Order: sequence, then C-alpha cells, then structure tokens
Amino acid sequence: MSELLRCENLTKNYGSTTALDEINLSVENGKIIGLLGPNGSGKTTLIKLLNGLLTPTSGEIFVNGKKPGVETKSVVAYLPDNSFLYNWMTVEQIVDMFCDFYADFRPDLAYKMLLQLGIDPTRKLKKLSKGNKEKVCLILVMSRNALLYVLDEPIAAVDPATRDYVISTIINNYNHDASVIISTHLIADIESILDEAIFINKGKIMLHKTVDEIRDENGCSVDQLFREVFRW
Amino acid sequence: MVGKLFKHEIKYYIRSLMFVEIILFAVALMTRIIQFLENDSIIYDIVFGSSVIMLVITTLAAIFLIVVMGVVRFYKNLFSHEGYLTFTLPVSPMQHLFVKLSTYMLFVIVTVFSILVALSIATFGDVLVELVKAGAYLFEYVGDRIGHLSLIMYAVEFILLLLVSVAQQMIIYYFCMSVGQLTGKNRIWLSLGVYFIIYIATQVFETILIVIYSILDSANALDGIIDYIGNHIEGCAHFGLWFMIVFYALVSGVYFLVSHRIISRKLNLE
Repeated sequence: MSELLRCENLTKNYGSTTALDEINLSVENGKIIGLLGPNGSGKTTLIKLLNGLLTPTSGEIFVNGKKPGVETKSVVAYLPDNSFLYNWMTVEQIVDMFCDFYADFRPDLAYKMLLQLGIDPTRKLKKLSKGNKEKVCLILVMSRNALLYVLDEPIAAVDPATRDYVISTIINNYNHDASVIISTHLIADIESILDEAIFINKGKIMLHKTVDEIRDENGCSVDQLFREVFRW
Repeated sequence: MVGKLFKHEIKYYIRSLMFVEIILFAVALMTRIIQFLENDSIIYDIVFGSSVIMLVITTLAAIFLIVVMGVVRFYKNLFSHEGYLTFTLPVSPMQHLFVKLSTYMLFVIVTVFSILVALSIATFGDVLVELVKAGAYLFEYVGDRIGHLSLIMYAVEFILLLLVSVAQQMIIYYFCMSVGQLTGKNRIWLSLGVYFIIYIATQVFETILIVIYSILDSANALDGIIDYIGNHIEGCAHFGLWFMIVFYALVSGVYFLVSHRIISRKLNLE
C-alpha cells in the first residue's frame, strides 16, 4: 500500500467563511472511498484543492507525494460536478484532445463505451442532452489509467438507470492499483462499492473508517450512520 | 505539451475566424468584380460606393474580432467552467499563458496579412500596379535621402514596436482578468475596474512627464539636449524607437509575470 493523498492541517477560507478547517487526511491506493457530507460541507473544496484549482489558505496537500502541479495532474483523473468540456468540440475531437494530453488515456475504451451508450462521436457536445454530456464526461475520465480518480457528484443529476451504468462504469474501468474518491450525498446508491467512507461536515473530517469497521462498530449501514450523524 | 496546446489553440482560432475571413475575401472580390462594370451612371457609383463601405466595415470587423477573441478565449478557457479542464491538463500556467499570447499574436499577423490580401484583390489590376509603383517610388525617394539601410531599419523598428504594443495591450487584458478572477462574484466588473485604474494611472504618468518637459523647456534647461538631437536626428530617432520597443517589452514582461504568479498561486475556480 502506498499513500496517494495526504492533507496536513489543510485550511481553505473564502473571505470570512471557512470551507475547510485544518483537515488531516491520508488515502492509500487500491481503495474506493466515499467522500460523504451534506451540501456545503467542504467536499468540492477539498477536491478542487487536490486538483490545483484552488490554493490552500494554510496547510499542505500532497498527491502521490507531490504538491498539486503538472506531475500530479498527469496521474489524477478528475470529474467535476459541472460540465467541464469545451462545448464547441465534437465528441471525437475531445477524445483526441485527451489522447494528446494524457499519456494514460485509452481511446479504444472510450470509443467502446460511447458505442455501448449509442453516443455519436461526430456530434458536437453542445448538441448532446445534459445526461449524455455527463456520460461523455464520465467516459473520458474513466478511460484514463490514472492513479487517483476523483469523481465529484457523479450520480447526483442522473436517472436511476443511468446511475447504475455510472457505478458499473466506475467499477469495471478503474485501474485496480489506483484509488477512487467519490463525492456524493446519495450514499445508498454507492455504498456497495465503497471500501472506506469519509464523513465531512462544516469543513472538518468527522469520521474516516473502512465500511466494514462502520458496520461492525455501529451495527448499521454507512447510509444509516450518515443519516444519524447529519440529522437536523 | 506546448506543441499540443498550440495545436488546439490554433484549431480554435481557425474555426472562429474562418467565417469573417471568408466574408472579407468575398467582399473584396465583389468590389473588384463591380469595377469591371464601371460606367458613368449614378447606380454604378452607389453600388461601388456601397461595396467599398462594406469592405471597410468587414476590415474593421476582422480587426475588432481578433482582439475580442483574444480576450474571450483567455477568460472562457481559463476562468469559466472550461477552466476545470484547462487547469487539470498536465500543463503549467506559464505554458498556458505563453501559448495563449503567442497564438493571439500569430493570428493578429494572419489577420493583417488577410486584410492586405483582401485589399490587393479589391484593387487588383491597374490600381494595384499604381499603388506598388507609388510604394517603390516612395522607398527610393526616402531611401536616397536617409539611406536605404536606415529606411529598412525604420521599417523593422516600426513593425517591432507595433507588435510589442499589440502584445502589451493583450497582456494588460490578461492581467486585469487574472486579478478579476480573485473575487468569487463580479469578476468582469473587477477586471474592468482594474483596467480603468491602469488607464488612469498611465494618463497621469504621461501628463506628469509632459508637465516636467514643459517646465524644463521653458527654463531652457533642455536646449543642449534639443541641439544634440537636432544634430544627430537619425541616430536619436533609431534610439528612441528601440527605447520604446524595450520599454514596452519590459512593461509587458512585468504584467505577464504578475499574471502568471496570480494564476499559479491564487487561482480561484470557485
């Protein structure tokens, strides 16, 4: 086991609001980890920090032993919670772009998944439906042979059938030496594939345990514990 | 990675500029074809005048579009939702900035070249021959008086000065947008505010220089310098142009490095 992600006293403030408050965290490889918390708990901020899209107010974050930068970006596959693709491109143009920039990208796998979903690669992204656009985003990310997959709310805006497809795509396509961090509040849907769960609330880590430990110690599922911990 | 960034950047510019370039050439061609129908009627004058006006408007649109594209491409690709992909590519912020600016400059040159080609099409024939003859005559006339080498030097210096000023203007826009993205909301307003402050500061600085010059001149303190320049006009003119080129390049360099630092250290894709 090697450490893929480490946060040391990581803090991020937006003006007077503290989004992350002195977080300490360590994630090893070969795991699927649920980053679980209510809206506004700091999940997306943590994900953006590890992708270098935000800079910490204080503390440090290391991905595969290095601060976020060119080297870490070549080993992290990131799916944001909004559409991040260039809308003016066609699907095959964006596939070409991923081929150009990511040495670990597998275009054959991407085209295979596009075919399975009946998405025409010659279509422009702006002409695709919202759901299909999200599927293309997921296909691009999961077609990489990355060390760390970071998926921010991958199932939040899709119907239940697509949700199953998304989850099976994640399980079937990730590099098993890698780790997958999935941020969501739809825990019941992904609980079966999780190895570990991280509960985050108001910028603080409330809990970081394996799913088995949670079940053994609390006698309930992760979803049930989540509802108990975050009850209004 | 820089080569790959260039490839995708150039594709974007070609796709976006192609339409206006085609219109420019079409209007130029139309203007030339209309001239074949030349006669004394008022209708010809109206049609020809309209085509010339259209050519002028299309030329101005091409110039305007390239500047707007330089700004929009930078903002959208780095600071809008596209930034989530742009900044997760394994490319450094310096490479992003370098490629953005270089591609913009490349397409400024392409636009100028296209305009020259369009004007050549519109004037093709006797008019173009006369224009080329006039240019050659002017080159010989001025070259005989100041020396052909010096004239070529002036031309090179003016082109360099023009390129550096165009680049500097875009880098200032980059700087303003980089500062603007520091805030979560009102990014565009903050960018415009920063640009306005830079503009006012530049005007104040220039006014101060003019006032200082006027005071020194009225006290006859610059007589020696003015006499020297009068006696060495050629050398001083070249020195002045190179001074401006280097000055603009240095100012551009400072804005470029500060923009890079902001994007590297204070990127804020909220």
